[in-house]
Amino acid sequence: MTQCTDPRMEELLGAYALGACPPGEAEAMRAHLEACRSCARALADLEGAREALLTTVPPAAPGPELKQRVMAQVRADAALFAAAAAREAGTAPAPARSEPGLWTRLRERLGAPIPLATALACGVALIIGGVVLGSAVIGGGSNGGGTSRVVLGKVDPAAAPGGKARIVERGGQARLVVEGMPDPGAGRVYEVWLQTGTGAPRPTRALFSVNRDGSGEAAVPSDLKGVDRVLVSSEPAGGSTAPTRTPVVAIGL
Amino acid sequence: MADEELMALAADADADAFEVVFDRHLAAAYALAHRICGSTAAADDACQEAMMAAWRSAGRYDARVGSARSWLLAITHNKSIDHLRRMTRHRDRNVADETAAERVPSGEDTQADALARVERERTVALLGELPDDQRRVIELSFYSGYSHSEIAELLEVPLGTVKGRMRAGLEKLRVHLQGASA
Repeated sequence: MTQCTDPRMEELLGAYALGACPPGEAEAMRAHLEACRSCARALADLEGAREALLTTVPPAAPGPELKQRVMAQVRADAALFAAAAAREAGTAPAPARSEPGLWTRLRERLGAPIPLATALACGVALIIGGVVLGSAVIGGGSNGGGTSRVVLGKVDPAAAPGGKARIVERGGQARLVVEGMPDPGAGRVYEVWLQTGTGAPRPTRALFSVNRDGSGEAAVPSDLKGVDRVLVSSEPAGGSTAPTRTPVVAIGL
Repeated sequence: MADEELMALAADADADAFEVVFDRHLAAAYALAHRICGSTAAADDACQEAMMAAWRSAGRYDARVGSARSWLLAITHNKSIDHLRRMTRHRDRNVADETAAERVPSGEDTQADALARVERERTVALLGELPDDQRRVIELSFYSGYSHSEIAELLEVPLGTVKGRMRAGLEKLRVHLQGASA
């Protein structure tokens, strides 16, 4: 097996496996692991020990309220999924999509018991106007910090039935690629936003339109370190400093 | 139905399927959260965050990579450490508190529970066989959320020593686990 050529990274493997590296170092390690078979193999060897550490505590029963809270949220989510699927299939009318107050409505939709930061920190399901927008990593590291990965997002089916969106990240460069998107409208463009946690979406300089077939792409002019979601909304030509319309694309990273 | 099949259903927003997985592994997840967070209220919050994250990211679960139980516990571990780091000042952090009060023993009544208990007792015993300095850095990082540099400061040893102890401890545990399974 090829030896690791970066002893600093090799020395860090145990700490990384235990989750004891600060974020920047963990990021560097993830990048290293994509290139270094020796360290990736060594880390895989340690996985069994790490997993065993998860099970050293005798089980304990929480109060019944915990299950009630979680399952209430789960069932509320499932109902929204079902409603969105029904709308997509044309069996129910699409909801009126109001422009302002997206984040307020989102917080209300997700409900109080789960802090919004938590609900969104997992970066995989965003509910906008009653439509579930999710994402999935289909390539690269599951930890999301690798140098090469593809992350699928979801497009609001009410705005773009059958629309697709993904982020392609390679060598520190990220591109947003969309398909099946409608024209953003006369005098309008699509604008790419970056969001961290529950903070307000940050504008980027990435403005784009789509071809006749609904395809389009834009370079995301910023690295995605610390970014939890990439959003896209239709904005006036020239872009906006804050979303003026409900995002139609959400990609959780 | 196996966890892996249930998770596939949960990925399609089947709440009933998720509830079965939830019931099977909640006690282990809660116990882990309690050990890390050190209080019932914090463990409740961390566990709730973890289970919602698992539900909302069920589509990311890949049965080829590992068991659903390990996946759920790994999410619980991460959420608990995040919770601990958010809510607790460094000096107040609970350090490897295996005797945390308020915990109610879970009823273990299935064959799977019994097997899990055997496995747990074996791992605890193997962990106990590690040299104290290696076990200490593993517990401080994994269960108490300290970074390697914080541990170096806490134990007043060089950072490289901490990294070395972590790696060596995990390696020994791995070898012991392999030996115990052979």
